[in-house]
Amino acid sequence: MSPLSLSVLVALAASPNPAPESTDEGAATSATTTTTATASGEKDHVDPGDPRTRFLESAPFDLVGGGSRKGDWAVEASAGFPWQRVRGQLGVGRGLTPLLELDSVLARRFRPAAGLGLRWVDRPHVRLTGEVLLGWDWQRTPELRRRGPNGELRLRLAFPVRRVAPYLVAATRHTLLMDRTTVATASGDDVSWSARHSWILWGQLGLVVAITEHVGLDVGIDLPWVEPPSISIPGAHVGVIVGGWGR
Amino acid sequence: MKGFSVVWVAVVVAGTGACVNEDVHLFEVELAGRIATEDPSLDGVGTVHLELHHGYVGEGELRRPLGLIESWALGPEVRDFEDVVLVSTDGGAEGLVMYGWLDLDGDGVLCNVGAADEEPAGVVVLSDVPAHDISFELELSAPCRGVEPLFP
Repeated sequence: MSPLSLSVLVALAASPNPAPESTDEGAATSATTTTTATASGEKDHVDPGDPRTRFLESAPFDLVGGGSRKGDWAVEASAGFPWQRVRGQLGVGRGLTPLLELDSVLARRFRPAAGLGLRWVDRPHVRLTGEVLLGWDWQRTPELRRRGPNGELRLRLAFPVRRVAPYLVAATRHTLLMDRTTVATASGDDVSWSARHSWILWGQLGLVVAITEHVGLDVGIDLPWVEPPSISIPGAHVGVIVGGWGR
Repeated sequence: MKGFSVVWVAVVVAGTGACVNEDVHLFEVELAGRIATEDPSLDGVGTVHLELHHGYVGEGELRRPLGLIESWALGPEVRDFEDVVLVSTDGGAEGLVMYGWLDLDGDGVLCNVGAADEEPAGVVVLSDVPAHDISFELELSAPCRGVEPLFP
């Protein structure tokens, strides 16, 4: 892992209270949006008297913006080329959201991962979340084996406005790949191990549409950069997001 | 918490070990040989170039003869050779072949256009394979021949 990635990881883990509890942020971003504190101490940007704020805490916006309120959950299943993904998250309060993900590249490579998201900026129309994920790369093709522990640092930035939220994702994904060399000598086998680092830079640009507070559609383009500086082909995805029932 | 960390590290180490990516198998061979020329007047003349090849490489439809492992250029007038080589045993690699030619004009090219002399070449199949100690005698007697036409 690079020093930059490590420093971001440490900063994310050490941040005591990422979401500023300002009382005038609604006025700063929208004259008509109010922000109130919930029983758990987290903000609620939804104003029952203002229909334009109805979807600000919806499950679709929670998922693409990263982070859910305490007890809120969201799940997305997305299909695309060449990446597919299933992701689930559950808010536990204090801006923290544990999450589970399963990435697939045309069912040839999989990356199951568990992670933790932390809302850094929590305003009615701007959300910035940092996520740390630990997982495992598992490529099925025997001629190009790629299996090893994987770590990812990710930033999610979303701009919820009424029913839609454009969003941006930037991530750096690192995998440790172990190789084995066996030298047969006259005195026996000499086995040595070596490690390689595989790096994927990840970008995503998309738009989520909240159909209801509990259901949304996600469309976006995927911009992976696998093993820079080699060139990678961009992809696209369409996803369905559900969640938030039973809060 | 400490117990959790130990378990996590153990899982990563064990899992990493179980998931080998490139698994390379090499066979150590100590080669010792003498190179001779058919023409006695060429003894001690020029530079001998040696190439160690697999007899066959590849699998299935990609299987083919000869795959270069390593090459050497012996010093002027040197006719004895000794070295340790790591030979891959992966990918259908099989057998060892030593090819050599005598560079009489010092241009590094076998029988270059306009060369005055026909440079002799030869090949020997190392029949002791697989063995860690292999000795050979290579006679350079075929003028201007590459390794492919000489390979039996």
